[in-house]
Amino acid sequence: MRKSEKLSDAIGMVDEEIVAEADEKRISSSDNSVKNKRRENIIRISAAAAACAAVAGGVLLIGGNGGGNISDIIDEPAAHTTTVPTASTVPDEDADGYVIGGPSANTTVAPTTPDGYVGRDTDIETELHVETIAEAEYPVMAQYPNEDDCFDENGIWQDELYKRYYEPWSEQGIERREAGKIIMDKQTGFVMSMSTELLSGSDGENRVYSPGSTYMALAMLAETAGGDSRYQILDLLEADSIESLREQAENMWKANYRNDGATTSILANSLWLNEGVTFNVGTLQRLAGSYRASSYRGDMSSEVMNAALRDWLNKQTGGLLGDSVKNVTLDPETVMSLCSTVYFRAKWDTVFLPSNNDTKTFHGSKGDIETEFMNSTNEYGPYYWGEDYGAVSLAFADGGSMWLILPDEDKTIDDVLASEEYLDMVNTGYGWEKSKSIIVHYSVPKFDVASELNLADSLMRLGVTDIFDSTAADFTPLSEDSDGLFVGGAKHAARVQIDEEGCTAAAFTQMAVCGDALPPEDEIYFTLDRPFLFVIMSDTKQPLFIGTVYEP
Amino acid sequence: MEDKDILALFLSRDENAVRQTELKYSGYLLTIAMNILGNREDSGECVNDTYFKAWNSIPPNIPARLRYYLGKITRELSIDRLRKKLSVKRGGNKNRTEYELSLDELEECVPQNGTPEEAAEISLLAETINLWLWSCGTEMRDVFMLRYYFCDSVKSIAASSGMSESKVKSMLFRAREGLRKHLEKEGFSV
Repeated sequence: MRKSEKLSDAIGMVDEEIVAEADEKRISSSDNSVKNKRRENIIRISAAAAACAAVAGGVLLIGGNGGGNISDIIDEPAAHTTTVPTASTVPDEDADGYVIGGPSANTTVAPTTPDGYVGRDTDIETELHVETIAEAEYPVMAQYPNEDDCFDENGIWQDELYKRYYEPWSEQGIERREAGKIIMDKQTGFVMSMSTELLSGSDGENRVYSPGSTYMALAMLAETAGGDSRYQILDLLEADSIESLREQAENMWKANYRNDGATTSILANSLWLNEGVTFNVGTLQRLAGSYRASSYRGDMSSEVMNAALRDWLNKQTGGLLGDSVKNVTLDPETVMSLCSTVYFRAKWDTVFLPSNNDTKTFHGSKGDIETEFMNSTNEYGPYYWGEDYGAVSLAFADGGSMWLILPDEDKTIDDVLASEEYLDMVNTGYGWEKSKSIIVHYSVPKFDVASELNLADSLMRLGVTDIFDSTAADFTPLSEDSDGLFVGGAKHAARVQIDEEGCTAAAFTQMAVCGDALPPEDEIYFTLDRPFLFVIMSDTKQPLFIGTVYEP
Repeated sequence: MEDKDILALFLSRDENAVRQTELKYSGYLLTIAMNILGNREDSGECVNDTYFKAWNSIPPNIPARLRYYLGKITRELSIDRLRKKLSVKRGGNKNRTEYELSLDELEECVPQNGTPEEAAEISLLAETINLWLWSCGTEMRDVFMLRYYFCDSVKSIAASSGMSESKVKSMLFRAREGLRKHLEKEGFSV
């Protein structure tokens, strides 16, 4: 008899109560009440899909010389007002490779947006006279297996059936992680600089931004820029050439695009072009190919073009950025508007029970407020810490996690941001040496954080200056008439929401952790009742969102 | 039919007892047997044998929980049958059942350098495991039993307990570690 067989026999003889207790949890095809219980579990998990939602978008406007006349750089007005775009088109090209005319009809797959919208609304666009130059192709993804489909007619779980659904889904996850490995650590410097620049010194205001979205927008901008304008961006993005940046952006897109029914993580890019300007079609095609950027053309001053832009932004971000999008407008001098968005939605691995919620005091930047906290306990943590903070990582059901980083009581969020330690920690994850498996009682306020940031000043402080200066900017790869073109505005809007399906609870903090002190031996109350920092990491270890919460 | 009524049929030697047991518990017992044997034909036979054994043992036995009583018989019969089959064609079996997989995992908590003194030790071992199980949290105890008593797959445990598969796996790993340490501390060398 194998030793394990002996153990198994002994387990077969344990107390009846122990067996009965575990048995309560089992399914039995002959016991409907138990079967229904399991189905309830599955349904509840599915309903938890809205656990955490985060979205970000950025708009970079490339305009003419302030107050200057756009007609100076107009090649030839296009006959556009009667244009009715086809569902998907690519640009016509003249002998020099420049876009000059109306649409042609090479069909591509229309993008699927977070709200399930596919392609464009032809009726609206007919009315709007906005012309589609190119539409990005989005891959069709294998869907996460629906467990309910994996029972046979007797209600018995079928592994084989599950495997049939699971394997293709799992396979695409491997490809995504492979892409993630290629780009891992290559953006750390950029993320570090941008986070400190955008999130520090906020004077108690909530802020959130998406490193992924800003990276993509800047990479696309680098494609359209030449000379020092391009090199300054390459330096900030830590790329040694435009080719390596392109490859990096492609892998970043592959690593982060998920629309598989479990997690939604969609990076979308678009270009909004002034109909009076001649653009280099090669550049537009490169942006459509490597960056999956759709491009649209129309009269920048028209309400219809503005409405189409806002419509696109809303669709790509599930409407979550409505307030910020409302303020997005193009003016006649805008030659090109470049938009990059990230939409992310995932469920927690372990949901918070609403019945455990309570109201506690959050010691915010503008005084104490009573707010709803979500509570739970994890018997094994782990709990993480650094020089200036304590932290936990809440996992999403199908990979990725949200890190919650609480500065020590004598420290501030700015102290944490100033050190690279927190980024090292979130990049390392489970292997982080300052971590310990102890009982962690989480108490997390529900929050909904939104902010709108002007990237221009930050980018200039980080060395990207030429593109904002009409006398120095070089946009020759974008248009043959690039004299006087410069970036007129760079906005970034982002919003992160969490709830039970996504987070909960608080009492006055019991964390007496300061400096590099070890955490308590057995358990810790991790109560986020004062300003904290969060980082949303994808399952491919990319920081998708980083934000601060001064007021939940 | 309620368990107490089925039991009354057994006790009054009414053959309808077996029919009613089959109606209520065949799916449940078949799942246990399938987890161990991975073969519908063998499992069906074990479940039929379970009815037969129950018929012959009630009375004199009067089980407090019929469901548990029947499940335990099916588990034992299925394990016996599998052992017999394996002793005939040891090795080379590609389609390993959940029971066999669970045995591989249990190897991890067998203390090394043991001196096998088989059968007599098993009931003592069971008592020790009992104590350890009672000392665990409910969640871990249930997950352990679902895997090593009922031989449910990790996927199935995840679904029935509302946890992710990775959480079930890590909990099982910690449980095995805990049991191994407990057995060593108690001086067991299985």
